[in-house]
Amino acid sequence: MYVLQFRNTVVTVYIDNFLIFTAFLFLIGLGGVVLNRSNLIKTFMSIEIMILATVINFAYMSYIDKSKIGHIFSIVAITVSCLVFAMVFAVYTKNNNRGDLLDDDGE
Amino acid sequence: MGSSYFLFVGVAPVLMPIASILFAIVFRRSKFFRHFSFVYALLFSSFILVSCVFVSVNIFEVRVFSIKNIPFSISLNYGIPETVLCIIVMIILIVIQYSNIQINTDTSVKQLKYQACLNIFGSAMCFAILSNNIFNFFIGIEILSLISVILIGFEDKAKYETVKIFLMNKFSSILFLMATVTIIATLRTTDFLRIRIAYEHLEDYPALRIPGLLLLVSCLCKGAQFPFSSWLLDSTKANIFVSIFLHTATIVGFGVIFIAKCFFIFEDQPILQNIMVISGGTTAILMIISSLFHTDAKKIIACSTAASVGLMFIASGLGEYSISLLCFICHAFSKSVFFLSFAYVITALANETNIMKMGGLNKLTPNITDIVLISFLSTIGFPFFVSFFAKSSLLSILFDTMNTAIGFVVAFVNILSLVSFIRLIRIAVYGESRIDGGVLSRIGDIPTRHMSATLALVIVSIFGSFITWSMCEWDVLHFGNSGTVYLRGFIDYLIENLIEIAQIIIGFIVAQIIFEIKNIATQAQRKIGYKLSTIFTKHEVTAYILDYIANSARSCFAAIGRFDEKMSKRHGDIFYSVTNLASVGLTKIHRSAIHKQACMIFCGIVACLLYLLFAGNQYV
Repeated sequence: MYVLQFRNTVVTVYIDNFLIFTAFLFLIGLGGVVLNRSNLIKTFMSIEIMILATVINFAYMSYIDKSKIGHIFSIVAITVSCLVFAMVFAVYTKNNNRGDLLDDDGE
Repeated sequence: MGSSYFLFVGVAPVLMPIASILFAIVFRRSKFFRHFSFVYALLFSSFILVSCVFVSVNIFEVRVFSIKNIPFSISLNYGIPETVLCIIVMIILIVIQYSNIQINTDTSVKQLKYQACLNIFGSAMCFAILSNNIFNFFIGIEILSLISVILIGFEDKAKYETVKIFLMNKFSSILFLMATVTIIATLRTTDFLRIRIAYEHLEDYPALRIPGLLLLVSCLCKGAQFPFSSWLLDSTKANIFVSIFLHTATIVGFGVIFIAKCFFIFEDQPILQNIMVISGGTTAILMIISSLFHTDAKKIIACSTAASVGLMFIASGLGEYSISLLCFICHAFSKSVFFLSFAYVITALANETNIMKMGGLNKLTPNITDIVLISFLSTIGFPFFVSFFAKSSLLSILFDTMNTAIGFVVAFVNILSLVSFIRLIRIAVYGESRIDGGVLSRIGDIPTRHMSATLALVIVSIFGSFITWSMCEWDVLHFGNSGTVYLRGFIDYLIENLIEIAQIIIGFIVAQIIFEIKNIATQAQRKIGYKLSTIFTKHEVTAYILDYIANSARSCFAAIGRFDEKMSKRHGDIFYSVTNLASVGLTKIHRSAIHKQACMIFCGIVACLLYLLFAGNQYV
């Protein structure tokens, strides 16, 4: 448990291993987006890792509270994000006539 | 009225546009059914939404779908601001669909998919606006981002732009999800109403300060504000009709709508409000300066859109959420007319968007030139046009806050936007013709019947000042207010000013009849090869319409003047009639059509000013 103080506001933050894990996962995704500049697939995968890191929090929250709201939200978020990724990739592939579809700089 | 009635009313505006797609697929062989099923579904949806505003006297909530023991529901909240925003989205979508059908005669499957995407877009927009919990809102914005990417991707050249816009949208979604996790973990609810109650006791939940920042950055990203404003210019690669929809009523304004919808999150956090003002002001200045140097017509209008949204963010940052929504509504109407008029120009020039390759359009396409001019006046907030009261409300906040820096930004942006539009029209429409010979042979004025939907929007952009003024007066656009007071006041107002409203409607009908007579005369002239009377030439019809504009403006101010019994209405009427007579006389003297138009405009303005002066107006 950590206590953060900002001016007169005191915020108590409970941090356990699970939240550290999701934060680590999020940073991996962020690193992937920042470091990778050429491959579209890698960028998409990195963003998906970031989304999953966020969505795992919903499931964890649901597990602690014994409620179902987090589970449902996480399932919907994953489904919708997969759908969007698939669509964007389809549009990009359709509009790109080159053989090297994935590498923007033709690696 | 039972619950089934409310369920039907609640579901129909969202589901009808989607149902029309099935209808269009079934009747895809018939061009009429295929095209018009889209338009009529949207018309039906907007009719139901309008009836929601006028028939029901209370906000009502529709629970469409829920599962027992599971906190998951799809429910829609028909408040006044939500419904008004949905109506505006639907109106603009109808006009875009109709114009697209009229201009693009392509009957391929691609066209069917494109129109279906537009309808799904409108449906998702309504769903997101009407949602009353975060869960539904998230689904709405995800579908919006998906369809916007598909729509932009219809243009084969826009491959990198599609990915860039998708990444921006995804970044915004991730931030939204992170904020949602914090809110749900703290409050165990997704309902906006419960979240609002919790935010009223913010000192009890200090963790709720975190989602505010995340949501604000998400909104800045959606609203193309500094430092995320680059995607808006990229989206101009899309088809012109998609650009209109993206730039006017949907994605760009969604940041503003969300901030207004969840104003309670930002209300007690001055840091966030300062960020809103700084980001909005920076975007407005940068974008309006860059619009002066672009030569692409679509990019110039996109820059001015980003600047307008920046002004809305400034209004939101100052705590005036209803005025920011008012600015959004006016922007949606005026900018969509402006975009549509340039869509006609670009279509006539075989998809040429470079303004340096245009020019001389006032002689080649006079119909389009008239619409461009009217849309220009409505966009810059010319008195009696739709943006006038929005801009005056914005300035009134500045006078209240007495902040010199913000005042300077708003004045600077407004002046430069005027300069930018004048430059655009001066080069593209009235400049020396630089059109290629190949294009010049194919260029043609778009017939008036093809522009009928646009003309309806033009009329709204002119007479919309009457509606926007009423919105200013009753502060209806504040989310969370009860709609009852507004509706009673509005209905009383309608009854009191029935004569003036009837006058405006008759003006519309007469103008339309004149248009029709002119069309019939022209067609007959072509058929029998006989020169009919030249009374109904195009420019004189325009002059008649301008006369009706002046007449309706007089009606608006007559309605305002009634509130003050001391002022004499009779003097105003006399002066108005005399000036109008003078204008008719002047048009008879001048031979040139342009001079006649100029005389009508000048005399109309003088008549309205005199009427204001003598019949009474609180602003003079």
